[in-house]
Amino acid sequence: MRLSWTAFTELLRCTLRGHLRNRLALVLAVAFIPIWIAVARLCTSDRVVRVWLDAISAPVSARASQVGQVASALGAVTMVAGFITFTETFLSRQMDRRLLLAGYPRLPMLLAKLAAVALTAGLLASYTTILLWISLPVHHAGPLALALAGAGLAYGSIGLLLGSLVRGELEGFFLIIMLSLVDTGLQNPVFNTLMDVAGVSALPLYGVNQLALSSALSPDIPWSHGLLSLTWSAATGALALLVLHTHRPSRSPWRRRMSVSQP
Amino acid sequence: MQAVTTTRHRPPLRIRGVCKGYGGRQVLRGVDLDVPAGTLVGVVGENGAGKSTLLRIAVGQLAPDSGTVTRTGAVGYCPQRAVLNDGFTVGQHLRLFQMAYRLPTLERAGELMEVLALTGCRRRPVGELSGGTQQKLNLLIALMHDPQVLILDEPYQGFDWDTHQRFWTLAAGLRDRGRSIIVVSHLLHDLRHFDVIAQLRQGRLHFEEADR
Repeated sequence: MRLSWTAFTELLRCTLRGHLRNRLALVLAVAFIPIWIAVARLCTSDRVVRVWLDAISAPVSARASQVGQVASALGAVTMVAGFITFTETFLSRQMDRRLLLAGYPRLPMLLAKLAAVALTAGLLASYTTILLWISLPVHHAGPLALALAGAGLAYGSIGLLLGSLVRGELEGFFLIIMLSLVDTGLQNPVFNTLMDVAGVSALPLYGVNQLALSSALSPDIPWSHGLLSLTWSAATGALALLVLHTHRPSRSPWRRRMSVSQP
Repeated sequence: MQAVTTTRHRPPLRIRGVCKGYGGRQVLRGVDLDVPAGTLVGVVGENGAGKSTLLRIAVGQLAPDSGTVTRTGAVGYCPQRAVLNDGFTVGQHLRLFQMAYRLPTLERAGELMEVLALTGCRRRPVGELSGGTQQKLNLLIALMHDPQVLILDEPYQGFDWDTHQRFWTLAAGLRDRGRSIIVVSHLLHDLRHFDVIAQLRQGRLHFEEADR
């Protein structure tokens, strides 16, 4: 038990320090999110739009630039969280397999990676909420932060899964960026005013987008929609666990006698 | 193919009838190898002969298509390319592998750092180290738990001459303490260090006693 806990905390600490040494990721986190929010603020019309939100079953009237800023913030958080997690997972996977082969406890390793995703998503969400709070009249900052954290968690878990699966770094980046662009594009009510594209509710950002827009722009808080992103995180996290399990290098630790026998 | 030597006891590493193919290409065609305690075996062969494949199967990283591998005691594996995390420091690597190997202290790792001239690097991220220094850490990780079986795939790539010589002194010392060691080598002047040379040709091992 003590070994498992130490294995968990040590790998979590190393992973987070690894994130801090990833300068490109830090620059993206610090600079890309405010720039993307500023672009939405400056380049979108101030005209008031009326958007329908499924989560509160009511329309909300707000300036297009305000809606655009919330949608852009979500998009920026998803891309940065996905990029950071994918890069770390992709670059460390051979070392992770070597550690497993040497006998490193498997479950603490995966839990440390998931905890790193959650902490990264939490930090990105807090920072982005402060930026939106400065830029917008936000109704409920807490639920908005939770929605942003949910978005980071969902795409962080997708990054974790892709980092374990894809063969090339470029493929992983491309998949994360394309999925994020399609998802945020379809969820943005300014671009997709009717929100009636089939299957849009099955995308990772649907729940958190509804929660974020409602929390920022209306007096209502549809908590249940925030849970939808957790479903995505749980599903992708479980798949990453499965990948780590199936890529296990050896059936038994080195220190025991071992025999591999096949016909 | 007969094993290296016949011993009354089962050797710490025994490979029997291992076959492995990639697509339609058969790389290993029934490899047999025993590495008794206190033996330093050199595996040589042309590029693409299947040396690294054989070692990866021996260590348990790759499953053979058929055949058996029996290992007794702890195993240390040094892959051909340094498998490290550029974002972690040397000290973090040691700490993580200390947990993987369940070592109470890093005393042995400290001694090896002295031998391999790695002291002073503990706090440096691996990504900032030279290729040769990374390879030293790659080797140190394979040795730090003092394993019974050592499987080393060209472990001295990028070493300067002094470190290269120290590696062979270290390997000889481990052999004399009863460890079973396999080293893949390409260098002719290294052949004198081996007790037995196993040449991998057309998927099979051909043995010769080393002239030491």
